Amino acid sequence: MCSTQKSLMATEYSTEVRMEPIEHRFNPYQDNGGTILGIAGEDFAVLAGDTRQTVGYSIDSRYEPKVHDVGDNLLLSANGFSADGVELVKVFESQLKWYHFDNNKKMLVHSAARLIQHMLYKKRMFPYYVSTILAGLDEEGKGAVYSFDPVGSYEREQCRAGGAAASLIMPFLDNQVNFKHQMDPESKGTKRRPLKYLSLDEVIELVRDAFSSATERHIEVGDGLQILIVTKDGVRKEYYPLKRD
Amino acid sequence: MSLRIVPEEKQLTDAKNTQFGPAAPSAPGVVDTLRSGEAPLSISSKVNNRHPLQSRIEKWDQTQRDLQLETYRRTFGVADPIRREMELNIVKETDFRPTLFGFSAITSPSLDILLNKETTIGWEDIYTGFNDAKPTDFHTEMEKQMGI
Amino acid sequence: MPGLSFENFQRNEYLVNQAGFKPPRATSTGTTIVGCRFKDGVVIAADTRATTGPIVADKNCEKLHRISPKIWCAGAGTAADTEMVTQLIQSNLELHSMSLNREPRVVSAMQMLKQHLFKYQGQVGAYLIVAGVDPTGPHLFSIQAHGSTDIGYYMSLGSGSLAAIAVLERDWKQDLSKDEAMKLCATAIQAGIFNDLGSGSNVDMCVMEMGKDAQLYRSFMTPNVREKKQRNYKFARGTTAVLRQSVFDIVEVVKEEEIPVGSSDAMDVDH
Repeated sequence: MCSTQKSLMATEYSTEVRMEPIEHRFNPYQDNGGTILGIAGEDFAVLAGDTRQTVGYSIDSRYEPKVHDVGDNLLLSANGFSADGVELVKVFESQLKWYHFDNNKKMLVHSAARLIQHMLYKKRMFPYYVSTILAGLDEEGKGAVYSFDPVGSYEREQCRAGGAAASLIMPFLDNQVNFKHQMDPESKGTKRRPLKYLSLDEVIELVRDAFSSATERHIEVGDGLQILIVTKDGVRKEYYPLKRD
Repeated sequence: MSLRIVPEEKQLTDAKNTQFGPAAPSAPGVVDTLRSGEAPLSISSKVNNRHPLQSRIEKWDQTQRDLQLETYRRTFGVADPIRREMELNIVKETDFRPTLFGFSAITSPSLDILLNKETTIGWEDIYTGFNDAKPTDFHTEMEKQMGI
Repeated sequence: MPGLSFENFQRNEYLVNQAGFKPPRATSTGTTIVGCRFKDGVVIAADTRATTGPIVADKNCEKLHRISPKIWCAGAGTAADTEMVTQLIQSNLELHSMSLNREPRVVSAMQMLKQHLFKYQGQVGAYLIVAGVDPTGPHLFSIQAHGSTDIGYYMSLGSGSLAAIAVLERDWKQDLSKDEAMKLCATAIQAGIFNDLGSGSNVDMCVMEMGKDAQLYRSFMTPNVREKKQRNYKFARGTTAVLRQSVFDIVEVVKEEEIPVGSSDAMDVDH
């Protein structure tokens, strides 16, 4: 981390003011761009992510999948600093294995969420630089999406976008999934449009449009879109190409 | 006399009291705040913390002019630059400024020609600043009328 | 003071250093631009993406600027600077050529640009490729923001310059034909578009050939057309909340009653 205090070294006689932040410490973090998106349906959940990995203005990889099927019908993705993301998923998978040895049963999605919270909070003082999304089915078989901040604060939600273009996608989701700012056309603009579960096909269409739109306006999003879909029958993967510029 | 191409990058090390505002006629050592209409001037703010480019841009044209005159002096003798400066001053002072020929409060084709600027255009010609030529203020007007 | 204003410098220094404000970000044309000479002409090309930080500010901006009818220039760096500096030099070159009654020369444009940029010590962030044809032949120059210039047969500038120069170094040869040069420039720009995040969208191109009018090819190539959206986002009428409604008459409506001529009622009044 570098000091946020700008060094100001102007004397009465100097003609220039230095304004670069002075780096006092080794900075082990990096931003690898990319965006992820999770949506929960009635009997399914999807977790999608683009496959581009970047550093600055360079593309490191056009196909580096970051949404993982970690077993037990759970999908996990940690977006941001990709090394931390990979680490988090690996540690989770190992913890899951131990959970199986110790308890001899599948891990439920709410337990997985709590586990991830502790994995993140353990590193409170040296955090994983990631925004994490977990998707799965709850005990009633309903779709569940849990989203986490870098140090473990989490919440179950209907939908959540994370990563570079999260601020571009989230308002779109609010409007199209949770029908925010939409009135019931029948009521001539006086009553809120009632909420309803979207079908899997509708959700996949929304996800594809969200990513193709984010690709248009965010330079770190593109190349490919992988969508993982979890239903009671297991996990299915889909891949769609995105623009490569 | 030097042959400088670009303005010297020198920060002021001292400043006179009246360097940044008009001196009062009755007390030539202090700034006439009554006349300038400004609050007491902070000289340090006029000297310190200026943009590194500001003085360079402000002194740019004069430096080029000085270089040219100095070259003329060395080539043709001192009479040449003196004549040029005199001509320049005559044109500056003239009252004959017909708008028909492109004169205005800020532009003067004659001046442009003498300065060899009649076929160039710079930011100074586009961003002319607010009308710098302030109308003579009340105090000056009174002093003039009363002959003080 | 006339000229570029330094008025708010001290205030802004305070805002940034003491009051914790962030300085505003100018739109930068992250950019790949290239230029290439051919047998009796010169061609320049550019991508069309403009960015503010990681956000694409303009998907189809114009980075090819006209300095005179046969002298064009491609700009990288701060969008406003490349635009304004070429406009200023465009005016100067026009005045200059009217004063001398000669066609403007590319070297003059380059000299004016470098002198202007040198004066501003690189603070005017314009990185330019200047190209054109004049009575002395075709010319190709590049200019850095600090005022240094280069002459070359092929060159690239901007954040995608490394991708572009790789292509130019691989494929360039002496005495290319016009079509070969155009193709080479387009390929070089595409390398930037696809491999540099600061560059994207389309390829613009300008070809200047001896004895001919300069040809601008806006959207010479469009390798990044957006696919059709999966869904239709047209909202049904009534989706927008109605909070309040007031109706105004644009004109005053006066109702007139028609009274038939010669009606007996009208006559009665007089009696």
